[in-house]
Amino acid sequence: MKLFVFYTGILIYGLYGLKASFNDRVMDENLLIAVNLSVILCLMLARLNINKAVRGSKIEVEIEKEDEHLAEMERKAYSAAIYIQVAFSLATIATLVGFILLRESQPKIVLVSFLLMAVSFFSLFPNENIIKITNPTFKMPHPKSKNYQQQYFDQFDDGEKYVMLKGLYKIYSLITWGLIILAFILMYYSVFSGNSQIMSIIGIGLLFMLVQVSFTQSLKPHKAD
Amino acid sequence: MKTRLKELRARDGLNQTELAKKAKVSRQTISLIERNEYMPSLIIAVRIAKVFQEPIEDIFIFAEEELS
Repeated sequence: MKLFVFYTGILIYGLYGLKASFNDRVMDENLLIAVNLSVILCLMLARLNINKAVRGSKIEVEIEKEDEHLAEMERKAYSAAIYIQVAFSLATIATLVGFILLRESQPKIVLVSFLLMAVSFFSLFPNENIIKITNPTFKMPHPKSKNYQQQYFDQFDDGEKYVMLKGLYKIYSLITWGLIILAFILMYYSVFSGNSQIMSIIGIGLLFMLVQVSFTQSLKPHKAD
Repeated sequence: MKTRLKELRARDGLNQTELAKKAKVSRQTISLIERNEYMPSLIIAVRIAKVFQEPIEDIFIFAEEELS
């Protein structure tokens, strides 16, 4: 709850600052401040959902409503994760764009974006209390473990892995098409604006190749020992 | 495939989380099985059958055409 109040305070202060000096700043600066405030709003909503999920999981409800109540808490826990992911993505983009455009004129705004990126990055690591709501038998691997990622993945059971697989397959298709479309858009942009995006197109091409090859490589049968 | 999970849970007074703990799976997996959105692996089916002390084929019921 303390963190939620802290975020609310920063949001109100930021909104006041944005409104008070709106006309004194250029559009890029105002936009970056607005994005930073959106990141704070996402972190606030994430915290709100986490608080609700943790509090709700401690409430005792009637047996007939228990399953639906637990599913509702689980939905809140996942909503919190989604808000944190959105916050991290926005803060990362804001930091990168801000560094390109405003690093000399408004370094403070870029620094705030960077700090928000760091905060949302650390919020991405799931809290054990939240995981216990979605999976009561889940055991977090030791943070210093050499095989942390593998051990973390192994904690999910077959049902959860099945849900992940369905989601990841959709993302794989989306990324494949998204990269192709983005590369074509950049090609037309380069041709018609005279602003070369060759580096971006090469980067997208390499990423496209990596995604395709890694996926197919994972399907390829392993050699017998 | 039909399952009698919900019916057996009601019989034994277990909610999804309690069954999940006993069968060493997530609540989400129990929910998916009950909604017929996921066919459990053999190990999960055996663990669930053990919790209810019923044969697997009495919990997970296949139609004749699914087996032939």
